Amino acid sequence: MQVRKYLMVAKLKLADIKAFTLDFYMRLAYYPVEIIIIYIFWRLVYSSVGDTIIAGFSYPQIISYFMIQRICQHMFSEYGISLAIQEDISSGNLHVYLSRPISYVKYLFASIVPSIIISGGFGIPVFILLAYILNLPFPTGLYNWIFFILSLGMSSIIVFSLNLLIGFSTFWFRDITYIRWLYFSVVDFISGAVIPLSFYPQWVQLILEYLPFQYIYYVPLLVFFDMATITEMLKLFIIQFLWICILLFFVKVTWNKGLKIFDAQGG
Amino acid sequence: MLNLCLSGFLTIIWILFWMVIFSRVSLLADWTLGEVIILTSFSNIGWALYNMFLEGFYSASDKVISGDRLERYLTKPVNALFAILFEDVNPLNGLTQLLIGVFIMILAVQFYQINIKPMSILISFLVLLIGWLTLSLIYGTVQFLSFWTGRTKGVMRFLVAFDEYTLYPLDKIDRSVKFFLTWGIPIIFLSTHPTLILVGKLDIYNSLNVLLTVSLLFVVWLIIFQFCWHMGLKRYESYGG
Repeated sequence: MQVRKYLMVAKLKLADIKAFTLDFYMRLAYYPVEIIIIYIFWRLVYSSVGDTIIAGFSYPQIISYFMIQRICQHMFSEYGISLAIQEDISSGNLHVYLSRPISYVKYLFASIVPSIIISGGFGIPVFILLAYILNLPFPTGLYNWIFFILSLGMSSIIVFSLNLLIGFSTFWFRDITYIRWLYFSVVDFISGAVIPLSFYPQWVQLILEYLPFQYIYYVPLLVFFDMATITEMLKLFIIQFLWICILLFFVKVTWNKGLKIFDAQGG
Repeated sequence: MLNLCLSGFLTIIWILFWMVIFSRVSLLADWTLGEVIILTSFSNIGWALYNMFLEGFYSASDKVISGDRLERYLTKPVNALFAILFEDVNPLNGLTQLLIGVFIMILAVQFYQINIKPMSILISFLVLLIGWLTLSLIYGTVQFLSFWTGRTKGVMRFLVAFDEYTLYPLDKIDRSVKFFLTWGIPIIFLSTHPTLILVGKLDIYNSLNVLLTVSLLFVVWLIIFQFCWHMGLKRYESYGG
């Protein structure tokens, strides 16, 4: 019964599928544009050092890396939830959700799941097709795909939790535009979206190992490209899982504390 | 102040990105780190100018599609096109970004001891300005297609995806892509050419040649833009608008 409510939310979002699919096709139109600049830029980098391996990546590998990373980014870009939370809190609309027998956080999660599944469902086959045509490396082993999907699933929860925390900061700061802007700008650089983290100096990599951001793109992609041993993969999975627990704990704390402020202000 | 800090912070992040790349390569296809930082500054300055004065070209469609709003512009005793494009101009929008772009550029020129000539400064900024005006005219033309198509969101999203290209050097790339980024969507004039001119990698003859080319493109797109506006208006009026 509990789950059925949220399945219904997901179904309602799926009912909007037509608009979403159109939006996805529009994205597909500019996906090649994004890939071309990646191709151009990394071609320049690799030709400048004589087509060797840089920071553990060969040229075809780096192209593959960014092709799949962009698809993942498109999957996560549906996370406009921090903005939605800001609007709900600022307008007082949150009260509507609170008066209903549903969990606001679970409602938000249910509403984004269809978009992740659809984006991934369209994007991954497009990647496989392009990788096959362009002769780019992609894993053929079943376990790579299983571990990658598992890791990506966990990274989606990390992204979701981080966005919840940003959204909930509206309880304390009225306008979170700058926080959102800062988050989206910085996270791209420390999650492996702009550059694989192995390109950074050793000391930066060491710091990033203690933060949750590398588990958004970099770690799932390491798993995808078989760049970690089974033992390393398991270790990464455990740490990724621990980060989920830590972030969800903070989500719970900020939500409870924030609600008190919301109630004190008259909801 | 907060705006200034965040714009500055983002620019610093991009410079750090280039430093990471240049820790792996000594030259990026003839480009030095100093030159690439100037390119980033040009990208910043261009976007700042766009945010300050040219954003109306991007949002024209919303005003045109919602008929009642267009009617309002047409009945005012002002030039309707001018009002649509420049009504919401807010020079404060990109001021901080502009200041940071100029500041980083001066810093890079000083730090990397890049010799620049006054004439190069003039030509590079003229190319930048005309380049952005041309791109805005392309945005505007696509927006006015909504007179016929109703929606232009998809095409706009496709065009905007080229924004990222202003952050990378584009002179040593595949010939066909370079041709498209010169004559199709003239992104090459927004940061690559201004940098090459400023740092003296293009001599005065070639610099003027670039200026002439971008000016020519500007005139062509201005004619197309005006044509689309007038044809669109005719269609709007013939439908009883």
